[in-house]
Amino acid sequence: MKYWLRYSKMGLMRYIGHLDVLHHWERVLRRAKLPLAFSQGFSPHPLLSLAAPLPVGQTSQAEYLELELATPLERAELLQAVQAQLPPGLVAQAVAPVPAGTKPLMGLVRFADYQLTGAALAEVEPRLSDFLQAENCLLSVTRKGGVKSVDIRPLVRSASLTTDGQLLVCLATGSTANLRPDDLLRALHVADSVAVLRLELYLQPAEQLLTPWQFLSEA
Amino acid sequence: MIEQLLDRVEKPARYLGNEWNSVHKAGDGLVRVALAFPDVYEIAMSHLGLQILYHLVNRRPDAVAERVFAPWTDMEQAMREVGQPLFSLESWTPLQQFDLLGFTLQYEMSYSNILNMLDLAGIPLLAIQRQEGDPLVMAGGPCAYNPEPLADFLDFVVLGEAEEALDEVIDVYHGCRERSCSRRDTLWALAQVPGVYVPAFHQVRYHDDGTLAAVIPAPGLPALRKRVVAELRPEFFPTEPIVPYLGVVHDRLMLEIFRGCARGCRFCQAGMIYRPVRERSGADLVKLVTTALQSSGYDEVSLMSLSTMDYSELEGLLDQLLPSCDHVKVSLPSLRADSFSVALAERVQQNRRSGLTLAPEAGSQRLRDVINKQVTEHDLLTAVAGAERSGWQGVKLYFMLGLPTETDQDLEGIFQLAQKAAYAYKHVGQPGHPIKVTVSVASFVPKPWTPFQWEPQDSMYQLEGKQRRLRELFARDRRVHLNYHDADLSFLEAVFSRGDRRLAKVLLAAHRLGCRFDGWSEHFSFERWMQAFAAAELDPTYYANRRRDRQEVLPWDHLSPGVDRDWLWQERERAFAGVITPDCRWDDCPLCGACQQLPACTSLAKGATK
Repeated sequence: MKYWLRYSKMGLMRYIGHLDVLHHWERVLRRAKLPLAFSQGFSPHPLLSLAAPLPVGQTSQAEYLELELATPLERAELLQAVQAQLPPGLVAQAVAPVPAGTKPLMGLVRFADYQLTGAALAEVEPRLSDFLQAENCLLSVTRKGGVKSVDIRPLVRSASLTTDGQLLVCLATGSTANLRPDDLLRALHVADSVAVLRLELYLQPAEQLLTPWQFLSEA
Repeated sequence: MIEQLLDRVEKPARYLGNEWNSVHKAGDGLVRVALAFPDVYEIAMSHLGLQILYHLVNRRPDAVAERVFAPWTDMEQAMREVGQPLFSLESWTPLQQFDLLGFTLQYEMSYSNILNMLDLAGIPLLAIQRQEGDPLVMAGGPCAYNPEPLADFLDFVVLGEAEEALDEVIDVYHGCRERSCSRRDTLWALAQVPGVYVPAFHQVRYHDDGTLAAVIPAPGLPALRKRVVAELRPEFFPTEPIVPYLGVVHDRLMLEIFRGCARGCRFCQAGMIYRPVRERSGADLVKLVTTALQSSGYDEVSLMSLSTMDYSELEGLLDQLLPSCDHVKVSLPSLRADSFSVALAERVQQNRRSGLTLAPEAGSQRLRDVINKQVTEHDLLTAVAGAERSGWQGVKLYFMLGLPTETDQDLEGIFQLAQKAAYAYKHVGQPGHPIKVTVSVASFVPKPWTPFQWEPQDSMYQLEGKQRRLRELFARDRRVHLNYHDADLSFLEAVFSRGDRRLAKVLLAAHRLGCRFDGWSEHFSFERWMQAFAAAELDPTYYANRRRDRQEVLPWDHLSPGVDRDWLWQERERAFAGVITPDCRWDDCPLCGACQQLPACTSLAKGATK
């Protein structure tokens, strides 16, 4: 039985890299004595994956772990067992079983909401409206060792400044298209450090964006 | 402040101190101990000894241990730029605020990091310059059996096992602090604890020719002796190990199944200083592994010891352990070169791509007899053939270069043995295939408290010539591959392993020249070290390449790990006569002297004691 588990990654845990977090999740689930399902083959490993990598230094209210158990467990029981084994900075918020046949979450993610906070955003407004009105915006990004020019404008679904100076953005995220918040900030000529908080992930089974939870309730 | 630094370094996870099972204790009146490992996080966190010390201190309600490691060069630079002193990992407390700062001495080439860490902490480098209020700087570990090159930098040294000595050290320190004793009075009180060595209370005199005349203890000090536990009790073992987030070198549960080794390889310091052999029982080990896997979530457990294959009931132990290790890999870190070992490795090790490592150490039976490495060519070839049949892709063979009495024939022997190993199946007359053989050659470093402690190391010129000779030989056969370590690093290891207090000047000069992380090839500079020797007006070859005679006072003679100096000399003579000395676990007691303080010289899991 497959589950999606939503958790937050805050505080010092932001310095732990994506793969290290995934590795630690395996240890968390072992400590929680969950009946993990293992891969077949010569060196079996537990079937775990994270929905979307979060760069080192960024925090998140909405990380999703996909896990598979050999025998099903009640949601509350699962959540409680996991929570007791999490280090400070990781908090499990909710868990839900996933219907058989659902594609891996990692491949379904399309967008993410971010909240960007920092003094450097105070003067970003004119550049932001120019950016949003433009049809395209080429930016050199480093991908897999090489530098290439990418049009990032279509990767920004929305962006707005709040009254207290935070920037809320919805960016393409996932394996089909991906824009990191720091690349957007570079395009907006924001050089000073900005704190990044991921607020939510979205899938797009049809026109509308759905959070993983909405996706499950519609399925 | 520290969080701003974390944003600037490559691996911030090295400095967080928030790992699972890390201990965060607060409270007034605690004795605060900083456990310092003078290397980078990934090395330090691969060391079982550190976790044992952490556990031993933190189980006390009146004390707290926090960790501190050598910050990598990017962090050091960031810290120096903003004036951030070196801090402990758990609470980010500057080291200056600790009561005790303990360094583990695992490797001579980390001494420069010790000086650098003291400097970064703002603690005066020389013990004599420290004031009331500065932490007491202590040290322990294998290199503590000759800490003399560091004597001027250390307030005290603990000889032997923390399980036996550490509580007394903390008790005495605590008592002194309650009575507001001076630094000197505290050290004097500590020096009364058996096993505690305060270098400042021992005066060193030299002859005109530069050799040591005497080490004279201050009147009123008890005799120095190593501390050793009779039994490895389960409560000593850290069943709640700190689980790193970063991938460290040994990223698995380390289970110490026994301590000590009585094989008696004559080059091996660990085989002398950790005597006698003390095994844990199978029942204890099952309990320890079950608890530790549960508390850590590890997916692999390594059965640690100096020679795991020598555990007296290893097959029975695996029968007991494997059921507690569902979906947990069990690995055996050191294999003996024989078919029994390969059969056991086959039973537990799932990954055979990484290759099997065996250590014949010398290329001829004659030289293996000299060093008391009781492995025959037949044993080795049978083991390799068995490994190949069981699906291993390759074998790695460890050898040493420059062992006492070595000749050109021994070098050729290394090459010939490697070739035979590649076709081991033919030599043992069994079906099979050739196997890839990688030979790794280290240069012999004579170590204190071994039968070879009087022997010269080959000069760098000789070692490099021998490496060249091996390269020529190995070029003849593409099936066998050769790796070797740089001779200049081994040369410096030999200087510091048998050095005396005069080397403090060299360490200070090297520190000023910027030496640190010398075990890391990207940071090691032999030229800088040579400048440091020149600045200190000392000749490194005097330490590395000189033969000592039996009468010479050695800088470490007063710091015995239990084995008798006379027995070591006798072993040296047997080495040169090519006479082996069998293991006392299954043969007569050779009277090495290691177990005089204990009720029994060996305690084996099956209950037999001798």
